[in-house]
Order: sequence, then structure tokens, then C-alpha cells
Amino acid sequence: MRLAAFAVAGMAALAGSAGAAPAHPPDVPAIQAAYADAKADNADRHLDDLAIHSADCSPIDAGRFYCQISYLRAGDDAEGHLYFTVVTMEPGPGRWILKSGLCRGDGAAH
Amino acid sequence: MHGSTTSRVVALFVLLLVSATTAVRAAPLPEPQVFASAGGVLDVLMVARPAPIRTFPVFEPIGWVYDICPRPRDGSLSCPVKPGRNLYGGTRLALKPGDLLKIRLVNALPRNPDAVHIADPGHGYLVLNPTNIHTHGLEVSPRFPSVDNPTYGDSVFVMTLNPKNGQLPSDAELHGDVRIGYTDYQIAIPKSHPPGLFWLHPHVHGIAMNQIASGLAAIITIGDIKDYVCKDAACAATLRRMPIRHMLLKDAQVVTGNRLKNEQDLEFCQARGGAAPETPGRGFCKGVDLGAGRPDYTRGRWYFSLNGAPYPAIAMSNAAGEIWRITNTSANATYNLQLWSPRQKRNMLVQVLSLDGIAVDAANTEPSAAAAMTAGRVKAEPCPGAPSGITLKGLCARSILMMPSSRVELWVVDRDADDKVVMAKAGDRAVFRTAGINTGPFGDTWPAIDLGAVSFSAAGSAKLPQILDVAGPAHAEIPAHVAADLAPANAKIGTSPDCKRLPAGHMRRIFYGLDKTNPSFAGLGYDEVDADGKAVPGTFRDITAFDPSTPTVCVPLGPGNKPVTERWILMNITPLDHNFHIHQMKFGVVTDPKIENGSAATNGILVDNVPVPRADGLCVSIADWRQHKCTVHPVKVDLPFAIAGDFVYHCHIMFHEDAGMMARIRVRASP
Repeated sequence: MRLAAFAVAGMAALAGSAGAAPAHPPDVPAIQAAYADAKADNADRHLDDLAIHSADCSPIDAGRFYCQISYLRAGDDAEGHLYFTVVTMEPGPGRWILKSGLCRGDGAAH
Repeated sequence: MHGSTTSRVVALFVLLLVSATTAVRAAPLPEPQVFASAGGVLDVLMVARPAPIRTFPVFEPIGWVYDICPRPRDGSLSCPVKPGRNLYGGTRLALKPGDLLKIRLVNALPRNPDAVHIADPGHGYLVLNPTNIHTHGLEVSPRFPSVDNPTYGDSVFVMTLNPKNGQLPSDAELHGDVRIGYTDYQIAIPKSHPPGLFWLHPHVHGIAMNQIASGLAAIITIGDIKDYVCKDAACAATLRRMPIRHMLLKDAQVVTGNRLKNEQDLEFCQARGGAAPETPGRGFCKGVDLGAGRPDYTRGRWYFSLNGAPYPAIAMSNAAGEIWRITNTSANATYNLQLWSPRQKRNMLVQVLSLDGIAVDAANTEPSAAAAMTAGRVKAEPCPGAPSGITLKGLCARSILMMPSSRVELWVVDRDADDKVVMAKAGDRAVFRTAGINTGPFGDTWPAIDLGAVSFSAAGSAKLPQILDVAGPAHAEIPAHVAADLAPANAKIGTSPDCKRLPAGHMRRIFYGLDKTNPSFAGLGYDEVDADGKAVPGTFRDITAFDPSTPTVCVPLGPGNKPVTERWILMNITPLDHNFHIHQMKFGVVTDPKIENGSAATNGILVDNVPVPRADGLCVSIADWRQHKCTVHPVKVDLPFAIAGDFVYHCHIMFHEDAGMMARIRVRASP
């Protein structure tokens, strides 16, 4: 179940990364892609093995969204452990930018 | 002019008369509202929200309450409005072994700018007042959500935000999952779960004290008192006549402007070193002026209430007395419970039926040994009617120490000067009170308070038992049965290569002390000692404030995921008392060092919190202790680990826990 979810999330991330300018609330692929971008900028602050599982976003202001997300991590000793946290997403040129959440030390590694 | 004066005199007289009547006639003790399981399930919506406290005299502050109702079918996140409910007084969730407890917890709390730990680096977000729940004392799985079941077990590593309070800042140092608006819990009560008294409270590190001090608490009962009291027919007939009361001990500091001060000041009624009031207050103590630029509380009151009612009337309706099921739901306060008889001018004897939700078995135990099994919480005495004074038949006491989170169940009945149970005479009364208590030269002074006015009844049968027989589940068998019931949940947790079994004879040592690198100052330390008491190299971890991401201890279950019992030594190097609580289990206090390692877990008295007494002398570090700058009074406990998952152990004085005196523990499936 965990690996399957990983695969789905990974493929969705690829699809999301090729998306156009964000006009709707960010979805799972968009957040996965934004996470990959954030990780590329600062690998130390981000985990390697994180797959977004679900997202439920509400607008804040000026195109920004506050999202309840769930995610899975490879290598967990608890089978299918589903993590929940919140992220702030901001529209960037042609893609979403992860502005807060999912950093090491803020609960993503608990 | 003359008529006006007369009217004023009459009005004043009426006012005085009304005041005097009010002072004499205490309001009856209310019973908490009950929500009981049906068909093996209790499914409730639990809204944490502000509400006025209308049971206090003089003040009507806003507290925080759990507004509980059956979960609405339409998905609503609020309970129907029912005026007049005493929400601050608390609620009881009545469950049975084998039930499924389903809770949707909604955070409708306001922001909390008063919490001191919002100033801690990375913790400014605590002003948003996130909340969660912990089912204290229940032996249930602390499981995380999974894809199959996205609800939580009894996990403290999640918090729920009220979206109206704002968004998380980007620098937030979180302690686990974050949910917006609400969180769903599904807590399976094992079929073998011992019947008894438990409770539920918030557990977000840094603001748990503020939320509990504001009123957030509910009690949980598993099964029925008759499951472990009065198994023989005659006793059972008496028990059926006894009213059963549930009492939540709560305290609230209220200052000018009707404001409930949830960042409690433990010197509210008595400056450290200051004189105590000569007589106990009736349901409250008056605030004092701490002087020299410090707060002036002289216009405030510190209320100590039973189910939200300060100094209620507890009128018994039957000569057989009553069963009192008492929970200390205060955030910080320690109570020294007594039943004062004005006629006998001494504290009356009461029979202790259970501690911390588990029936006591004191049969054939010496009183001093029974007291030791409670780590001094109960000054055990033989109950009258026992065959001799050397060993106990029932466990009786005149005072019971209740540090935060403690529960006790008592049989309270009228007694004569020889402590024998007697038919009450008209006018027999008692005062239910907490005696003042001090927790050390650097500790706190808890005021003496009269908690309730008790009147005995002469109604009912003339034949009364001297002792109620108590027979709960065999303590030695509980962990194995719980582990068997939770086998699927335990197996799902998996193994961990970092989780090493404690070598035979070795013990883990937990230090209570100061973390000088932590702005909040408090923490726990750790090392492992061998069978000779020598520290095992490489195991030492200095006193450190709570680190939610790193378990201090990892315990693998035994082969076949059977329970594993470890001996821990609790070392308080500070000059103030603490207590020790660990989630997901009951444990035994080692009363004699010669007791074989692990066997105290089968004691006749098991608990889920113990006092850890202060050190003599002054140590500010473990290094100081090693240099003999203080003398520590270790408490040894045997802990039967039967439930896999991640949970915590901590001081349950929430002021200390929020300051860092907590650590994460990981229990994993057998390697």
C-alpha cells in the first residue's frame, strides 16, 4: 500500500511539474513538485523520501493557499504511517512555491 | 427622608439575610454529564471552546470547556446549544472493555497570548492555541494514522489548529502532525482492559498547563464499580444502595476583570515563605499582594472546585455511605485529601478501593508495605474489622496525596470514635478538604481548602459492612492480556534496529533537573546502570528539555510481542517535588531493593503516577549530584511494556512538563 501510494505520488509529481500557471488551488502533484523544488534549493532542510498523499487547500490572500496535506515516507517502521501537516503555497511563474511547512525540525521528521 | 432611611435599613437587612442564607446553604454537588457507549461504540463530537463559568461566587470568568455531544449526522462541528449546562464542571465518558471510542475533536479555542512559552524560540505559534487529547491511564494503542485508517489512537504527536486563530508561521518548531479545524480519534479499548477511573486532557507541549488550568478535562470510566467491588452477595446488596459520585478536582485563578489566569501563579494566595491563612478557605483562597513590582492579586480568588462548584453540599442519602470517584484534573495543584470530623476533631477513616483506575489488592499486606506500594500517596491503615492490625484486609487511610493526574476511589461512610462503620446520627457532618502542602524550599505551597460540606444520612439498612471487598483483575496478568488484545496494532508498528533490549539486571535511570541551555529551564536526563548500579558507558544523556523528534528510550517487546518489564530508577536532583507519569501502562513501585527485577509490576497496588521526592541539598546539574552536593531519594519502578508505539513520560505538574520535563519513548515490535 505504501509503495503504491509512493508510485502514484511520484508520477503525479512529474505531471504537476509540467503544469501551467496556477489558477486553481494547488493539488497533490503541484505540492509534490513545489516540495521537490524546495528540496533542490536546500536539501539539508528537506527529507528525501516524502510523497504527498492528499491535499485540501483554502485561500488566504493574493493567490496564496493554506493546505492541509498528508504524506508518506519510505523506510518508516510503522506500516503505512500517514503524516499530516499544513503548508503555505504561493503562486510563482508557472508553478507553485512552497512557502512554509515540510521542513526538517518542524515536525516532518517526527 | 425618614421613609427613605427606613427603606434602606430594611433593604440592608434583607441583603444581609440573603447573604447569610447563601453562606450557610452550599449548592448541591452537581454530577458530571454522562455519555455512555452503546453497541460497543461511543461516537462523540468534542468541541474545545470558551464558555462562562457560572458556578463560582462573585466572579463569572470565561473558562475553556469540552462541549460534548453525540456526533451530529450532518457533519456539523458544533454541539446543539443547551443553556444551563455546567460544562466547566466536566463530562464523563462511560465505556466498557472492548468498546471503540470515537472522538472528533474540534478546536474552537481563542488565541492565547497569556501563555509564557509563546516566547520560546520557534514556539510563537503556540499563541494560536493548538490542542489535542490524551486518554490518561488507558492501556490503549498510541498509533499514528495510516492510509487504511487515517484517525489517531491515543497519540500526543498531533495538534489541531483553530483556523480562525491564524496560520502557522514559517519558523514553527512542531511536535508532530498538524490538523486544521478538527482531528478524528478512534481508540480501541482492549477487551481485557481493567475497569476503573481514567480521564482525558489536552497535551500540547508548552501550553498544556494553560489549557488544563482553563478547564479542559473530562473523565472516562471503564466498566462499573461492581466489576471489582463487592463480589459477595451481602456486600453487593449494600453497594447497590450506595450513590456513586464522580468528582473532578479543579482549580482556577480569577483576577480583576473576571479574567481566568491560565498562566498560573503558584504564589497567588501565599508568597513563597509567606504565612499561610489561619483557616482553610471554603472553596477558594484570597489572592495576596506579592509586592515589590510583582502582581497584586488581592482582588482575585483562586477557586478549588468539585465539578466546578466551590464548596458544594455533599448530602448523603443512605447510611451505607457513598462511593467517591475522584480525579485530580488540576494542571499543577497537589491535593492532600482528608475528611475532617468536627465532632471527633480528627480526620475520618475512608476505605481506598482503587488508585489510578485500578483496584487495590492489599490483602495480607503490612500497612507500611501497602503505603510503600503507593510511594507514600496513601498512609495505609488497617480497616476496622480486619483480623489483626498487622496485615490489611482492606486499605484504609485518613489522608491521600493526590499529585496532578491522580485518581482514587473511596468508600465514605459515617464512623464512630473507634473508626467503626456506624449508623449515622442526625447532624453528623464532615468537611471534605485538602490540607495545605509544601513541595520543597524551592517548590510550591498548595493552600488548605475546604472542598465540600458533607452530611451523613441515617436512612436505610441498619446492618452495614465494616469493609467492602475489592477484587479486580489479577494485576500480573493484565499486560499479557492487553498485549494479546492489541496484537494486530502492535504488529503494525514494526521493528527498529536501534531498539535494543535492556541486558538482564540493567536498569534505566531518569534524572529530573534543570536544562541551563533551555529558556524554559526544565528537562530530563538519562543513563543506564548495570546490576551493580554502575553507569554503563555511552548511555549518558544530560538533562535536556523535551525533544519531540528524538526518543530517549527505545524498548523492544519480547518474543512474540509479549510484554517486557524493565526497572527504572527515578532520580530527582532538584530541591522541589515532581511526579512521574508514563503513558499507556500501569506500573509497580519497588518497595524493597531485594525484590527481583521486574516483579513489582505485579504488586497488589499499581499506579500510573508516583511522587518523586525532592533532593536534600542543592544540585543544579548531574555533575553536582556526582560530587555529592545533594542527596537524592530514588524511586524504583517496574514498568511492564505491552503496547508498541511512540509516547511520552513526564512530570505531570504541567508547569514543569511545559517547561521541558518530558521525553519521548519508542516501543517497537520484537526484533
